[in-house]
Amino acid sequence: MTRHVIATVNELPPGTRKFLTIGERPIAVFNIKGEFFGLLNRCPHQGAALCEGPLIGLAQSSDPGEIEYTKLGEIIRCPWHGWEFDIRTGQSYCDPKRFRAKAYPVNVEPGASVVKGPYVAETIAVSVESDYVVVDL
Amino acid sequence: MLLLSRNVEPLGQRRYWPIYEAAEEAGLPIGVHAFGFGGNPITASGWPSYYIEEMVGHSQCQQTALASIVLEGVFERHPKLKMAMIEAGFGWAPSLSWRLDKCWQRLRSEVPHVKRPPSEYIRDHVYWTTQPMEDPERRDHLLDVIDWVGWDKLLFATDYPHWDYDDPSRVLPAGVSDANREAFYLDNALKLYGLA
Repeated sequence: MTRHVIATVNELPPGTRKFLTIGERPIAVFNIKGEFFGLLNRCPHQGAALCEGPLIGLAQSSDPGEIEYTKLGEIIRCPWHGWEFDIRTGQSYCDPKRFRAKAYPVNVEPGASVVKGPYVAETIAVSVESDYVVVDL
Repeated sequence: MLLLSRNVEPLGQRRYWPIYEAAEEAGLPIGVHAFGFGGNPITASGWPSYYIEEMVGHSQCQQTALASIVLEGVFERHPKLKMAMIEAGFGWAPSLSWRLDKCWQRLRSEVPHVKRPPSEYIRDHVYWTTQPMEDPERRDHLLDVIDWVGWDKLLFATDYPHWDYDDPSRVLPAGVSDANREAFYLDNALKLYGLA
């Protein structure tokens, strides 16, 4: 497993996402209300750029008239066929057993530990003053 | 090219413009089909309680799409673009057009890019598929609506094998001319999809 520094925390404010390639993998990293999530940018259905879809919520209902709209901004909807995946785990809602988007753990590391390594940070200059977004592959 | 009626934004808005440009250039009609999900509740007051509300609501969602397309100037900018409204009914076509025209007469300064009355764009560019076929008590009311929409703009659709499919032998009332029946069951589709 390798750890990749992909941005400073300031470069990825809440509500934004960053697209990048690590090795040969197209990956997107999201900041959702201060938490970071990584997903492979390839829908398990037909390979679409999943991470370009809108972030929506989950609508569930137990009875007519009883509707819960939860997980606002935590469900990514694929732009091609509308399949919905949980941004935290990559779990699909249409068929959780058979389909899942590939999720990567993303953490914030302080500059002091990033400077020490071992991290792969080809294009980001790291310093002890900033905090960094780190993706585990 | 197939689009759905419920999207992230109303279908006439800028993010969808490249699709219309490409379709016109390629000579392909755009189909706007019921359903889809953009993360928005399916009515303007939130989530309804029953499936039947979604079924009747398709015409509402399609009206949003069509009004947006007309009022954002999609047809004005793409005079050769043809569009089909699919599986959301057509009985609402006259009333939406009347309302659009009336509002446009008073509010057209807000949308100067809409150079003609909205109903003209709809009559010129829009085709309609029939399933689920409107089924009023008085069949002559249906014929009045089809007169407005145009016998050259209506395409028979069955939606078989869905539970609410239309049977081609039962879908038209008596008294429709042979020429109109030909257009309805065959010629309009051949023309729209470039197979004539």
